[in-house]
Amino acid sequence: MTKHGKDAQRVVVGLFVALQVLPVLSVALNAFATDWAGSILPEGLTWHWAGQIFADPRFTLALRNSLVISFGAMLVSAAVTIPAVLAGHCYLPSLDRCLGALVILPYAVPGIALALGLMRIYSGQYGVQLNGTPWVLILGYVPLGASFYYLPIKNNLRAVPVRELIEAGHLVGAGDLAIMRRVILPAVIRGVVVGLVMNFALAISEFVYANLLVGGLYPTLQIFMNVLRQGSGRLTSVVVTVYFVVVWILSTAVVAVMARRED
Amino acid sequence: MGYIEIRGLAKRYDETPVFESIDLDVERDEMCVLVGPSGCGKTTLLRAIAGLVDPDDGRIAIDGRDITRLPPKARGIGMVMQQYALFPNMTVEQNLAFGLEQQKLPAPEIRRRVAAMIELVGLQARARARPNALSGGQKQRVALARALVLEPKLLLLDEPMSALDAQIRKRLRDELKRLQREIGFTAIMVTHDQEEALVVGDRIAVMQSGRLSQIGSPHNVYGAPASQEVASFIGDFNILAPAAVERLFRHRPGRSWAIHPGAFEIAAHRHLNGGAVLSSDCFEADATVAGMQMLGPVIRYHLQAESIALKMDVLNRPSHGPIAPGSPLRIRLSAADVREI
Repeated sequence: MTKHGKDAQRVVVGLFVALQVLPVLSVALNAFATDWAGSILPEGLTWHWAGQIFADPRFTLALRNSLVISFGAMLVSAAVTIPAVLAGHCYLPSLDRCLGALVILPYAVPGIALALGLMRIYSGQYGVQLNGTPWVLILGYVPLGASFYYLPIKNNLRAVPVRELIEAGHLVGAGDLAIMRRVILPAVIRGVVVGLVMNFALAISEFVYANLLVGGLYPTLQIFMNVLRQGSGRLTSVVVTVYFVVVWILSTAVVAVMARRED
Repeated sequence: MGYIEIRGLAKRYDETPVFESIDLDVERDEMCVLVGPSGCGKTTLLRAIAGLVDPDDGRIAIDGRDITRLPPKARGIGMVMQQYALFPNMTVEQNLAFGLEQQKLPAPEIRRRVAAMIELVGLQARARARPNALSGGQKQRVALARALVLEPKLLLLDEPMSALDAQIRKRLRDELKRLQREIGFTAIMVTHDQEEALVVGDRIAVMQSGRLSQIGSPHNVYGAPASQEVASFIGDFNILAPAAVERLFRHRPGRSWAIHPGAFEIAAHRHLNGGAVLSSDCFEADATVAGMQMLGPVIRYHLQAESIALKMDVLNRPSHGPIAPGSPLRIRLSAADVREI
């Protein structure tokens, strides 16, 4: 590799990192800026805006609600989707093709249409009354989160000789559940982790469903941020930075747990 | 009636038979090797015995107990698969312990049996390694240990050495025989390698086009092939039709001759022209060396005699140089080395 070639690679990687990090960094700087207009960097830093947000009881309530919704959606989505993906791939290959099409369906339909559909399903007309409760949001995020599990888990499964492993498991006396839990699931754990983190990130930052399905009845961070939009941009930046920190803590924790497992 | 008894076993896919009318007995502590060309149905037969494929007809029994319709985990059969199928997330120890845990054995008993088996296959230093950190030979030994630690009634080996290089194959097949002598197990092994079958097997079953063509000891199958197909496959015999024999040796037999490439000798003196019956138990013919292959301990010469292609193996002695292509030869054959089939 020539020096010129290495420099070109560094530029490409540097550009990618900059595009990923700069927006987050600028939002974080804005959250702690005293004044930031007409200069590249803020004129000074302050805890004032953060203190104001953390002292607001609406923020504490919205953060708690968002965490409940995000963890709830993540767990329900994982509990429904992961077994379906594994069962489809390992035992029902003909249905597996349908699963592949189903997981992209929510993205092919406008969000407003899906939200209205969910409101109708959970309005009590069909015996289930969940509108206005966090459950409607948690269940509403399940179809949206399915693709986050399906794609990385399928990629992991394609790299594993699943049929041979299941047969080997049967031959040493294990049942299907034990094989799934002890052999197949650990083999796709990286895909599961990617799904969990992305599902959580979606649920904590989503606005359209949150606003249409629960709105002020169960205010989340996004609803709270919408209330703040008429005020200072610094306060909104603090809330976005909180998102980022929460997702970062979750991702770091998951990566640390994974690293310990692999040791 | 054998310890393992297979009767009339058949399997078809869309009316195309994979194997049919399979009758096979395997005695306790015997290693039976199923040998045959690729695609002859031997792996499917092994999978049917394991319960991974449902046979359409027939019966499989172990020690008198019919297992034909039992699920794999209830058969008491261990299997080493072609690509080993080790559990990738588990260490060597955990791979071995997994099956014992399914039997709900006490933890100290599991540890003892796992440690003993790891020692038996010589993998103490790699006990905590995951499969991706093991060599091909080590993986093969783990797969074997994982099957044997459960003390199966029958061990199935599906081309267990096909993924290994020649040197390791030789070492591991010796090790397989050593393990069989030490702990004693009944096994059916599938291979397409004739040499491996002869070295490892106590008994050999030659499978061709979904049927068992011949079952017998290695000596019996190699020395007395029952058909032209077995002779061509297992010993790479020269098969000569009666008319070809007549052209070569001026002798018209009733049936075809199967002649092992090692049965020919180079006659010391060219005292006769053309093929001849020297006596009732010795034949000679003129031939020309068309080509040669170095096979290691022997040299294989490809001969042309009366426009008939022959294979002849000669001991590769360092003091004797190879015979150059184009050289004329006189070959001699003892009648005792001819098998009429």
